[in-house]
Amino acid sequence: MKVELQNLTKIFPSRNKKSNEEVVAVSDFTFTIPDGKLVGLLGPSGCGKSTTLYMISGLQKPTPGKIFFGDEDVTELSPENRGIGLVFQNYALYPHMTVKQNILFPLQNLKGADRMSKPEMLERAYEAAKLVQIDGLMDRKPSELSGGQQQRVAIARALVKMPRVLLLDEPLSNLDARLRLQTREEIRRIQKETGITTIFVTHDQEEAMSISDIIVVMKLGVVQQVGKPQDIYDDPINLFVAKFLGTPPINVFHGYIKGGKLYVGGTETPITETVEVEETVETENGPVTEVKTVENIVGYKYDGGTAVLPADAAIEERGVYIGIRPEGFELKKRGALECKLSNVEVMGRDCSVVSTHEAAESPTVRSIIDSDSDIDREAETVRFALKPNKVFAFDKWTEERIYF
Amino acid sequence: MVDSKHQWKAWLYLSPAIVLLLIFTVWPIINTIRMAFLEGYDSLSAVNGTTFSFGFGNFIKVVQYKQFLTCLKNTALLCVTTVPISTLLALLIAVCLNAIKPLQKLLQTIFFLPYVTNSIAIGMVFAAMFNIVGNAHGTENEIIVTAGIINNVIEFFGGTHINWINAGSTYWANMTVMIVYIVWNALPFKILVLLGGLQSINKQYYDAAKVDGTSRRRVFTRITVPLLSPMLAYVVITGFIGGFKEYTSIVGIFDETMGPPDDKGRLNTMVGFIYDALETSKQGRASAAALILFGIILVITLINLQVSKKKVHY
Repeated sequence: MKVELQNLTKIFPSRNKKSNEEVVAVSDFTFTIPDGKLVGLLGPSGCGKSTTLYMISGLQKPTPGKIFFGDEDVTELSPENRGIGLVFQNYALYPHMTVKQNILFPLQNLKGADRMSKPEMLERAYEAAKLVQIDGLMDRKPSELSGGQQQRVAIARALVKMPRVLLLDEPLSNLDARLRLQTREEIRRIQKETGITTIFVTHDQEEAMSISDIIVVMKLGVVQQVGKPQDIYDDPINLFVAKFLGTPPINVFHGYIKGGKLYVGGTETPITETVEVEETVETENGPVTEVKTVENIVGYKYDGGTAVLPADAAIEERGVYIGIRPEGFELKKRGALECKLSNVEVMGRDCSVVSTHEAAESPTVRSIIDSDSDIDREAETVRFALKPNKVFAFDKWTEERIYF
Repeated sequence: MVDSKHQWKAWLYLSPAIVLLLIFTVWPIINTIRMAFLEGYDSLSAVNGTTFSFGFGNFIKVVQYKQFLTCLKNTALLCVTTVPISTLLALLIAVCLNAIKPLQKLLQTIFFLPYVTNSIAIGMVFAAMFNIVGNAHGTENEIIVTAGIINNVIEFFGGTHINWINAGSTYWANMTVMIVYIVWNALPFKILVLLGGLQSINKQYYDAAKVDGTSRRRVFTRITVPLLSPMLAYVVITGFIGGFKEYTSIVGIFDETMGPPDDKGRLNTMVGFIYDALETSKQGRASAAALILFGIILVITLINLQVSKKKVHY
């Protein structure tokens, strides 16, 4: 089932009557989720991803915006009529019912023509349980299950009525690291087997990248970028997306572009212009017009730093943030970028070089290089050459991507 | 664990509470048991140096009293009627209160008011409401003048007044008044406990039920009630215990005569029986009756706990 979101917006009225501050949880979200895909809504907490999910589920109503399942407008439909399965963050399994009763519960709610006979219900329940491999635990209570098992029961309960769309709210956040890895593959497998369009919410970029067909990166209710995980990683649209994706995170430097070159570091001097401004001042003898001279900043000049890569000569002189992926560094004796070496962490497959640079935004610069490269651990400094496709430039003020 | 060397300190700090408990709780309990098993014990003779032999005479005497059976019947009847009625009403009111947003706090306060009002005072108001002659102690020969609000309402709708509590009233009329009064009096505490329970139920269960298209009735019977069962068990158990100790409510409406003027003692309860025995300074009999009451409450509570073990979740 294709899911289409049109200008989806959610505004919460302010709680405090005195201040008329409305909270815009989701702003103008337009996106079509293709049939049978696994989509991850990714963003830091408070970015509106869960709100979006709840709007798709029908538990919250958009203000304004429309939601389509296939060609059917479901915006005004109540949750039970949308044909969705929802897995809550803390599973919301009914604690007084056994696993079997929990899975049967949605089926027992069906009325009229949809109502099944008891053996049919049981068969469906066992089918769903088998899919998530909990058919051996059917008579246990949720409190007698591990976190991972509870998660599976919740998924089985959501799947048992064969929903058109499966929604998962932070499905892995309550699991320990090992189980998380296992469960995310499980979710991927279940989604592939059932072919149900699945939307899940997460704040963990690794989780989103590893199992999604499509990722939607959100920030403060606004969609930043939509695409395949690798595409977003390789081609982030702005600094936020670049910073949010990837472990270890991207290294951000201050720098500038000038004369067809990309510089790391350097100094920024404002160019000022003296303008005369007429200003009317109220005095005892009525308004008097005075002429004042004001210094306006009209631009910045950049100097110094290290030229690291060539840039498009057509780009005028401007300050930028330079994002370099950890794998974008190459050890080179004559590399352009010189950093103070502080530590080398060997991780077997490769090793990570921790260094510092005065122009870097974070206290350390982390780069990942092959473990067989020759590195002098005792050296004071280390020199890197940069791989051009792993280096991104972003405007200093808008933080939008600049292709150089 | 506290170091044995410093244990005396712990005992020192506990001592004020322990001393008070020993004097006012533990000793009276032991003394009650002692007095119950001393044949025909009464404190006046005890002071004069009479010794009493050990035996079950007090218990036998208690059971042989006609009044005792009346008391037991009244108490049991009040329990089995008021506890279920008040629990169901409280559940209904709590669910309704929980469902509304505006005025919730105000209504909560209003429903709680009876709890902080003196039950004798409430009893007097109820007595006035159910009255028929303006004087609770009217005799049979007095001219009946409808004065109580309840009878006024009944007559307004074309019914004939009922003699609720005055001379010549029936036992069932008296009981009805008692049940209405006790239920009304028991509601606030139960509502408070159940409302607290309702508000602590995770809202996600209801969201999950909504997504699954659960009907309102099924949400109530399959989700709300089971998740509320610990609180329900609590109010039922405390309700039964309170019910067996019923006394002041009857005093509130019928005065210490424990019944209408022409049939005194008709509505007496177990606790009333104990007080009567004390009044005639028959401490032995009173103690025996108290132990019997204790036994009954214990058995009922154990049955309650046994039932709730099967029905109460988690």
